[in-house]
Amino acid sequence: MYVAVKGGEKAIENAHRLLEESISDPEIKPVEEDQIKLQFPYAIDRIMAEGSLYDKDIASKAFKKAQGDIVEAVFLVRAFRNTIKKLGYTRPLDTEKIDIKRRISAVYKDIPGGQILGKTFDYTHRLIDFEDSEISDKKTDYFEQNDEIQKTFPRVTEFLKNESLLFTDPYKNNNPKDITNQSLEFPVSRDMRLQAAARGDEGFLLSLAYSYQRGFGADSHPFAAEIRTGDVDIKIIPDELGFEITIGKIEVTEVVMVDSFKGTNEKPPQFASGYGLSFGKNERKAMSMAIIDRAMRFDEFCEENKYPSQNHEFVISHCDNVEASGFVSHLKLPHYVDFQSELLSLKRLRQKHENKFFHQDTNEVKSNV
Amino acid sequence: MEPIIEVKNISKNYGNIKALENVSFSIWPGEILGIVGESGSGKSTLIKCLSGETSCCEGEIVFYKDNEQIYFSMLDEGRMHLLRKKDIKVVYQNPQDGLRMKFSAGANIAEPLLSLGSREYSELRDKALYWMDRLEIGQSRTDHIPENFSGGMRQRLQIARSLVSNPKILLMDEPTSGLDLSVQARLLDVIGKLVKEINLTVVIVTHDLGVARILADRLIVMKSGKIAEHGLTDQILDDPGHEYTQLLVSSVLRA
Amino acid sequence: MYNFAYLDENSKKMIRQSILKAVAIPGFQVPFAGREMPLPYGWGTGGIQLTSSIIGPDDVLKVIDQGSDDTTNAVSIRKFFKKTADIKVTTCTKEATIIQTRHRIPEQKLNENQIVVYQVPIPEPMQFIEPSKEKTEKYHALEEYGSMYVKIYEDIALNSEITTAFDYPVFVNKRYLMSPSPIPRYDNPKMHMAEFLQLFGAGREKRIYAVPPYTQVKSLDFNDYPFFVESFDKKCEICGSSLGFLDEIITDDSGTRMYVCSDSDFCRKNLEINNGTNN
Repeated sequence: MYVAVKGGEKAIENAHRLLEESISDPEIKPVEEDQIKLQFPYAIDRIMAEGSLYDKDIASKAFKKAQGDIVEAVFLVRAFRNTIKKLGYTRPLDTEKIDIKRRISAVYKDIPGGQILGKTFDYTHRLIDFEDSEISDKKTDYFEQNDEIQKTFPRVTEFLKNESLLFTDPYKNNNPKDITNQSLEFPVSRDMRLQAAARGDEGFLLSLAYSYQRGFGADSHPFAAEIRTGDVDIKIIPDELGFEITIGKIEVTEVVMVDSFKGTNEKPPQFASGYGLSFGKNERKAMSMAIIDRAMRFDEFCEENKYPSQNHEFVISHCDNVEASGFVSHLKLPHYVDFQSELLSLKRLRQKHENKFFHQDTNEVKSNV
Repeated sequence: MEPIIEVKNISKNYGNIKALENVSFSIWPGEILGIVGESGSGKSTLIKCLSGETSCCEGEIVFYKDNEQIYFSMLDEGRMHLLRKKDIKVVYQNPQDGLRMKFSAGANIAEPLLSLGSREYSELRDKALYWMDRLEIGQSRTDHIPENFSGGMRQRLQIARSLVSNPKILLMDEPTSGLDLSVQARLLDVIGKLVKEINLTVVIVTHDLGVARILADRLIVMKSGKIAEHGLTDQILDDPGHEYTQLLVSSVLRA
Repeated sequence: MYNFAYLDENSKKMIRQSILKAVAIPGFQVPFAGREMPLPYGWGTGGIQLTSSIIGPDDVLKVIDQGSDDTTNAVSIRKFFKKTADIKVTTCTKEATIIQTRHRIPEQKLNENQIVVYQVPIPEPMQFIEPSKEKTEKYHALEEYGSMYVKIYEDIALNSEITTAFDYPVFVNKRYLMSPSPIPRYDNPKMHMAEFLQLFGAGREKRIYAVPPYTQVKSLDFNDYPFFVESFDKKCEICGSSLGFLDEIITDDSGTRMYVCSDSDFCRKNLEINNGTNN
C-alpha cells in the first residue's frame, strides 16, 4: 500500500548539513575572511555592488557562506541589508575630490592630472600560473616620488561641456526616488534606471552593452571619456549639527561614455553621454552601466527604441539577479498539481485530435506519433 | 445637413516643426474624402489627430454623433479609447500595425466585438465568416494567420477588422502603398463597393493621385502642414488652381 | 534578533496599507515596495510578506504547497514562521486561521474567520499576451480585455474548448481581470462568493491583490462555451475519495500509476471518517 511521502523536514536538514560537511576537510584549513578580503577583492566588490551594501566584512562572510557562488552571496547581502536600520541619505558623492587609484581617458592622449594606469588586469598576458608566485613585501608606489599627488581631478567631460559639445541633461533631479522603498512603475525615470543598473547583474548588463555596441542600438562608436577609481568621502548632515560632516570613505569606480549625436532641427549636434558608478574597482560593470544608460536615453536624442538594450522595461525588469535567479530556480519547486492539470487537458485535446483524424479517413487511423 | 466631423483651425507642433498649421475643413457623412500631398506635408499627422491618437496643440475637432457634439479636447483617455474602439477606426499603411499577425483572421475580426462585450462564440464566428466573404478573402481562410497572407489580403483583413464594429468613419493611411497595381485596383474596387453599400464615411490619405481620382469624391491638398487647395476631385485634378497642386498634378503626368 | 514574524513594523504597516487598498478594489494589482526575504524570490516571498504583516500571536498557521503540508517548501516556510513568530502551526485546515498556500485551495469549506494567502508567481493575467507592464496597466485602467478574449476565442477555434489548465483567468467583482495564481481550474469555483478573505502576494513582481469575502469571481468563458472543471474517473488509493483533486504517482519502472488526494489534510480526515464507520 502506498504511504504518502513524509519527512520533508528531515531531508532539508540533511541537505543543509551535507552542504557544510562537503567543504570541510581535516587536512585543509578553512579560508579566513581576512584572506578573502585581501586576495579576492573583485569578488568582494561585485558582491557589495550588487548586494547594494558597502561592507567588506559582510561581503566576505557572504562569499564564504555561499561557498563562492557570487549570486548566492549577493542574495545573502540583500537579505541582510533589509534587516538593518536606515539612518538617512548621504550627500551626493563628490567624485572630483578623490584619492585617485586609477584614471584613464580614451578620448584624449593626455589630460590634466595625467593618465594613471593604476591597478589593472589590462595588458597582462592571460596565462595561468602553474608555479606559486613569491609573496613580496615590496610595495609599488602609485606615483613617482617627485609628483605632487592631486586631490582633485576635474572631469574630462567638463572640457566638452565648456565647448558646448556635451549634451547636458536638462532634467536636474534634486529629489531622486529611492528604488528600495518605491514600487517600480513604468515609464521609469533616469534616477530609478541608474539605481536599478547599479545593483543589477554584471553579466546581464555586460551582454546588453555588448549588443548595443555591436549595433543593436548604437548608431556609432561609443568612447570612454573617463574612467576613474578611488576613494571618496561620505558626507552627511546630521539634524543635531545642521552642517556637513565626513563620516568615512568608500572606493568607487565612475565611468562616463560619450558618443556622437548628429543633431535634429531643434537640437544641435553634440556628444550624448551615459553614466556608470559602481562600488569598488569594477570597471566592467561601471562601463556596461554607462553604455546601457546611454542606450536608454534614446528619447532624449530622438532615436528609435528598437532593441532590448534601449527598452527600459526590458532592461530594468530583468537586471536584478536576485529576482532572476529566484524565479528561474523556483522551477525546481514541485509543480505537479499544475502539471496534472495540464496533463488532463492535453489528454482531452489529444483524444479530440485523434477522433478528428479517425473520422476523416475511415480506412486508416492517422496518428502523429 | 450636419458634417460628421468638423476640424476647426487645428495646429500640431513637434518641437520647432509645424506639422499642421491652421487646418480647417469638414467631413460629410457618406463621402470619401481624399487627403493628398507629398511626404512631410502633414497628411499622417492629420490622420493621427482625426483618430484621436494624438492631440492637437491648438484648435478643436468636433465629432457629430447621434445629435451629440463631441469635442476631442474635452475627452479623457477612457472616453477617447471608447470612441476609437467603436466609431472611429483606422486602417494603417502597414497592416502589421493594425493586425495581430499570429492570431487567425477570424480572431482578428472578432476582437473589436470582444472588446465591446460580445460573449457568444458562434455569433462571433458567423460575423468573422461573413466579413471574410465580404472582403473577398475567403471563408476557408478564417482560421489561417495573416502572417501567411499576401499584402493585399492583409489589407483587406485590416479593413474587415475595422468595419465589424460598424463604425461611423474609417480613416485610411496610404492603404495601397506597397501593393502591385492589380492588387491595388482590387482593393480600391472592394472599398468603393463597401462604401456605397453600408453608407460609410471614409477619409483616405494618399500620395497617389491615381488612387485619389478613383475613390475620392473630394480632395484636400496638403503642403507643409497647410491646406493648399480643396474641392471636388475631378475639378482639382483637371484644373488645379494653386500652383503647388499644379506642380503635383503635372509631375504625375510626366511620370 | 528579529522582530515578530521577521518584518519590521514599518514594512508591515506599508504592506497592510497595500492590503487595505487591494481589498477596497477587488482584483486590482496594488504595487508595493517588496523586499528581499530570507527565502528567494519565486519561492513564496510575496505570501510570506503578507502572512508576516497580518499574523498575530494568537493566529494558527497552516502552510501547504501543491495541497500538501509535507512538501519541502511548505515545511521550510512553516519552520520560518515558527522560528520568527513562535505561533501555533497546524496541518489541520479547520484549525487554521491563516492558510498560506501555493497552487491549491483546500478541499474543505472555509469560513469567515479564515484567511487564505496565495503565493503568486506572475500576477498579471495577460503577461503572456503582453509582457509590458506599462501596457497592461493601461488595459486594466481602460477595462480593455479584448486581447485576453481573443486568446480564448482562438482556443475554441482551434481546439473546440478553452485549453487553459491552471492559472485560469477570472473576472472579479465585474470589473478587474485577475490571475487566481497557478491553481488548477478545478479550484476556481471555490473563489466565487467565498466566505473567507483571499489575499494574493507576488513578491518578485511586487504586487498585492485581494478578493474580499462574498465577491463575484467568474472564470472567463463564452455563453455558448461555458467554463468547466476537470473530472477524475479515479479514486484516491489511500482514502477512497473521488471528490478532490488527485495527484498522479508513478509507482514502478513499467509506468504503473496510482492516484492520491492532493490535499493531504482532506485525505487524512477522510481516512479518519472511514475508519470511524468501519469501527
